[in-house]
Amino acid sequence: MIAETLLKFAREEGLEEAEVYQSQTQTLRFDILDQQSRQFVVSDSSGLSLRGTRKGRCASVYSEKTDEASLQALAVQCRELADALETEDTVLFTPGQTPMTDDRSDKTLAKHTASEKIEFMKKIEAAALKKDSRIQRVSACGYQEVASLTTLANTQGLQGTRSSTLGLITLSVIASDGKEQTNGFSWRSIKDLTSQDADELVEEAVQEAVSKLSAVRIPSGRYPAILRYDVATDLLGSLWSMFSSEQIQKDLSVLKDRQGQAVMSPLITIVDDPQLPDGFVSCDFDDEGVPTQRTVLVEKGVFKEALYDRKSALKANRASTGNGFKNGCSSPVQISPTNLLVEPGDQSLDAMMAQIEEGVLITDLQGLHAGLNPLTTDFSLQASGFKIEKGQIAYPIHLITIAANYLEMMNSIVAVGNDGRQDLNGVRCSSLYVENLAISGE
Amino acid sequence: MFLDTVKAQRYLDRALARGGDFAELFEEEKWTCSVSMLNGKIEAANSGERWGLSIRIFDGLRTVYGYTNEQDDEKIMAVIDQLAESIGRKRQAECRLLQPQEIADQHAPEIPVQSVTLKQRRQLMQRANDALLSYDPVIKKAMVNLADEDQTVIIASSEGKFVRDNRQRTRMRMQAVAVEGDRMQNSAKAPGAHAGYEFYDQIDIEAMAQDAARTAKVMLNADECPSGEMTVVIDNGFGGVIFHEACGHSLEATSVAYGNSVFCGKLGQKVASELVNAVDDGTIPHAWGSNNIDDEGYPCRRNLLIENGILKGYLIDPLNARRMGMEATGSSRRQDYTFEPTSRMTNTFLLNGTSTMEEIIADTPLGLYAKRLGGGSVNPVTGDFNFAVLEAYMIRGGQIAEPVRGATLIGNGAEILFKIDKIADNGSREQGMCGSKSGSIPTDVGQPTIRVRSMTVGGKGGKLK
Repeated sequence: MIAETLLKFAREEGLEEAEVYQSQTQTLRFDILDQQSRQFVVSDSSGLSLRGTRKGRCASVYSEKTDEASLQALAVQCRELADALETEDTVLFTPGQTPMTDDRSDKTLAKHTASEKIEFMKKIEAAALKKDSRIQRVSACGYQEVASLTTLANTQGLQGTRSSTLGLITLSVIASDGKEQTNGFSWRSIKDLTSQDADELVEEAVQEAVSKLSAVRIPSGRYPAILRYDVATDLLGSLWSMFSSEQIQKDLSVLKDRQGQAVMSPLITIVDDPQLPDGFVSCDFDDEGVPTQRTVLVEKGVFKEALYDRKSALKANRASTGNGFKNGCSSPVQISPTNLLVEPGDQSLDAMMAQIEEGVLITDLQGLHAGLNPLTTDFSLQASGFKIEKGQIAYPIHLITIAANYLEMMNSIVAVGNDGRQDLNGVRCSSLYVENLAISGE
Repeated sequence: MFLDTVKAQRYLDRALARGGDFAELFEEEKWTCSVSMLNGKIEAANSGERWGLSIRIFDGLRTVYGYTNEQDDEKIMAVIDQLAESIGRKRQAECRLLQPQEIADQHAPEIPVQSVTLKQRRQLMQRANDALLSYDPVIKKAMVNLADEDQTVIIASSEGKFVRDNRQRTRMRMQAVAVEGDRMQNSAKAPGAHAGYEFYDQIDIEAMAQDAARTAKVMLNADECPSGEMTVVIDNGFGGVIFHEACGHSLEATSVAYGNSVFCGKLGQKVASELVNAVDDGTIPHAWGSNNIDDEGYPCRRNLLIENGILKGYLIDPLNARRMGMEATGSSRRQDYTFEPTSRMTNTFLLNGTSTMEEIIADTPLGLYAKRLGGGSVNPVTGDFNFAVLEAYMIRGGQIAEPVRGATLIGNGAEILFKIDKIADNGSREQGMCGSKSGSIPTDVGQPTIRVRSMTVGGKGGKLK
């Protein structure tokens, strides 16, 4: 109803094509501290955005007000912004005939009452404190549940509805050996309140915190290194924009003019897979209504294909790969991966470590938003982890930095692990054994 | 705006129906506009308006929080009832009669951001674009973004508060990309203010753009930075991010009140070299991180944090003030109505010392001169921090020598403050966005040029020679 009205106003305003994106989000979240729920949050919010074209150039506007006057004003604003555009880039919206539905919501969590969820988290807090005598405190024990509904409609007949739910539990603990403090964090996405998820959450956070106690620094130098799967995932998640066709078209990617060339080790294959079962970003169509597809970005080290939205696809005279997504109503459509996956190898973390006489296992990186340059893929980041000696973990290390160029590093991969877990942005990489890495420490 | 004293009174009273000792409403209307130019052509434009209402109830040391963006009495009441129900006891407090309160606007714009036409925006961006591209032929790309925000809030509480504030901010980001062969470097300047478009008459857009272009060009030909322990001179302005990360976050009540900070229990104790004086000042007229009132409706203040190396204060919001048994400091902030507010920084900086920049360099036989810093992060539990250096040079024989790239500074907040052995007299502030528990908010960082006796520098250039 709102979409129809807005599309009508958009046509009357003289926009050539128009598209309405609406989202509705309901959340419940709380934290447990000292066996009490605190910061209990409930919300019900919605918003919409309008994209419209003039001479093919596309502007986007958004609003959280849906009265008729606001919708009318929105159409005017969209036309004014579109008229101000000077870019040569144009876009045509996705035509549609039959309405599309993509329902990935799960109602199991919603059947539990808020107090059952609070009890569940209280048990986790208590279990974390009991797990190890060196655990001093639980600094955060959080529950979050999000249900979202997205609808799309445009003047070309497209109609789509997508719904999803997410349950998330997180735990942060602080360990102490009387001299220094360390922290450990873990998270799980959940579909129900199960003791297995609770146990794993506690085990992981506690283990991480206590294993970091008594960390030392190591001398600067080059070391054989293993980036644990979560760290390898963080790096890819921060640098994936090299695969964005828009960045490539604007000369802002190191992969410019490298299609068909070997850019990484032959051990590396990277795919964007929107249909990964239980993937965090699995979906049938993107925020422009384009059906999603499996895209091979890197095959055995060779750069095969980039990710496209409709604008960059039109510019390249090809089809979109279904990677046009909005980061909420107020964001424009941008190229973004779905489930971005590095194909696992066949070696366990232990088997990879066994090959290292003296090296490091990196398990944590800090400052990802600042210490790397997506343009060049150079990075220099604070890290911590463990010293590897004679094929085994010897002792924890901290306050070191690792520095490399990501592409160069991905060219010197010795082995890819068989492990890995998707992060909430949908990125997954297995542990990577890197020939050697520049480390600065003492 | 949607709220008036009658509605607010009714909502607040209902919020306290099932227990809780204090209730608060935060209504927000925010207009934003962002226009981007690439090499002289407007390539993207996005604008819109947000509206929402949040309700927060205090129950001792516990809070419940909810929000909606539907201007519908029934929906709002439903959220309030859901929150009240989650406390679920008998009423213990009443809402006092709301008294509208006038505040003096220290940051009122002369040229309101919504009065500026797209044509005027374009002209300003063109100036930056031209200055970037004309600096040197190696500058192949000029990216300019102009982002404005006009926010009006009403904050009402069961203690009788009903206050309204308008905040307008504008910021221009000018980024240069230098390319030579297969090498590429980028650099940006991004001045901003809590003000209207008169701000752009007060700054030198061309000089700032050229400075960004200069850095990109210099770094294009820089060698990789050596790694290891070395003396580091950190320049004024954005160099203050070191204090923001290494110390500021650990002084926020979000860390301190829960024992998650190295500065817990250290008030009155020496936490830094005696040269160090630091403040968080949310009152500076038109500064990027300033506000008339914080996001719980209390006046912003100038808070002394460190005086002659002695820890003098924390940044405390009203909820954590209860937990800590201390006074709130006007430091409660949030990104928007979807975030529960908490203690945050405003404009945080080190005060001037007595050395000069020239003396400091001349007095350093071998070290790193970190001229421009990027962002960074800190682990408040351990105080370990890191940040990126966007423009750096080696110091050799008391003189600034060759440029180096790819440096990262890492260290520990508690330790590094003691290692500051020189502070210059050239303090200045720069703008940034700070992300933490209550979202992403505008803050200023700042400092005069300082010298840190010894710090870990990460880089790919091998050992220091």
